Order: sequence, then C-alpha cells, then structure tokens
Amino acid sequence: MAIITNLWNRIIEWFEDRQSRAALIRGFNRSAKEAFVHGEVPVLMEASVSRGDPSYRHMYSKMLDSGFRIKAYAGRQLSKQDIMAIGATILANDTLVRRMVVLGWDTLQVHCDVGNYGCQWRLYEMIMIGQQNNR
Amino acid sequence: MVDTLAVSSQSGHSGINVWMIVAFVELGIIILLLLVRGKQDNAKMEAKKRVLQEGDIDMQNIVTSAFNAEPIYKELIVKCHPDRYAPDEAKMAIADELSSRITKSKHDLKALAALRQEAEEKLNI
Repeated sequence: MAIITNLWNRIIEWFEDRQSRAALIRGFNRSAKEAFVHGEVPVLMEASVSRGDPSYRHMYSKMLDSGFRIKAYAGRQLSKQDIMAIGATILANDTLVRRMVVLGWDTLQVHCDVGNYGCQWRLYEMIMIGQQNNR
Repeated sequence: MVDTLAVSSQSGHSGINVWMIVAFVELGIIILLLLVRGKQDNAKMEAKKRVLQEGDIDMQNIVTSAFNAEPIYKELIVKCHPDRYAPDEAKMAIADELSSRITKSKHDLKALAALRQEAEEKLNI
C-alpha cells in the first residue's frame, strides 16, 4: 500500500512541478516583456528550459531539463559585466534561487542573441553561499 | 512433418516457470528499492514544500534590477559613505548602518529606492 501511495505522490508531484516550473518561466517572461515595452530595461530577456551542466547536479535536479536559460535579445554582443549583472540579480534573490533548486534546476545560464559568449552558475552552490552569509 | 504449433506451445510452457521466477525476483527488487527510496523522499519532500510556501517572488523587480540597480547603488554608496559625515558621530553611525544595508541590497532596485528615501530623510543627501 505504501508503494502505491508513494507512486501516486510521485505522479502528482511530477505534474505539480511541471506546473510550477512553467509558471515561474511564464512569470519571468511576462515581467521581462512588460519592462521592455515600458522602457524600463534596454534589453528584452526571455527565459527557457535547457540542458543543464551535468557536473552541477544536486538531489532535486531534473533528468534532462535542469538548466534555466536567460537569453537577452540585445542585437549586439553584451559585455561580460552586463551578463554578470543579469545573473547576479537572479542569484541575489535567495527565495527565487531556492525555488529554482527545488523545482529541479541546477544551472543558470545567461547569454545574448549575438555571439557565442555566455555565463553559467551552479545554483546549489549559491544557496550554500547565501546560507553562509546569513550566519 | 512437425507440428509447429505444438512445438512452440511446448517450448513456451517449459520456459514460463523460469521467466516467472525471474519476473518475481525483479518485482521484489523493485518493491524493495521503492520502499527504501520512499523513506528517503519524505525528508526531501518536506524541505521542498517549505521552500515552495516561502511566498511570492517579485519578478518585475528582479527584471528591472538587472539593468537599473547598479547606477543607484553606486550613487548611494558614495553619498552614504561614513567619511563624508566625519565630524558628526551620530550621522556617521547612521551612514555606516545605511552603507551596509545598501551593499546587501546591491541588486534589489526596490530596496535601494527605499534606502535612498531613508538616506534623504536621515542624512539630507
């Protein structure tokens, strides 16, 4: 009986996770679009799911789509500082990072539409750093 | 002449017991693994529930902070530097406290806007 309950919980959890992940990405994209349309930010950003870095895996990591990728449509190669600023803003929000980790993301990737330069961060490590800073 | 149907039914009948045993052993292993994993998952699930109930995330603030927080941070950290209020001990203490909060909120536009207002009131910047 316990096995059936576990399996059932697992199925429900899978659907809930998918819903929460989609809601998070939709929320980010909606906010990014609004901010761009209202002229609050100079670059249109779009979040999507990608293959994460296998070496960044943790116990909540999803099997295939463990990367949270932000693509900045700037029409030019963004500087490293700009890309780092986008990443740092995400990582500075502890609640968001914790939520991303438990929803199965392990890698944050930021890159722009031009060129092949980008940055990626290990999310789980950022939680550990945050905990150390709070102590 | 060989009756192929009879031969195939014989071979199927003779092999079924072995495969049945193998299947039962596999089922047993799967059940055991599920039971062990189920116990491990409970703690994981509890932690996950706690994190998901932490509250709403202000995405708008995150997105706008990515490009707009840094100039405000740079401006505030200069204006609230304790050395600028050197003769006044009370103001130096306020500036010191504000500076540390500004550094902590480096990437949070809303928090920086609130800190700017606070600095204007307390330090007349």
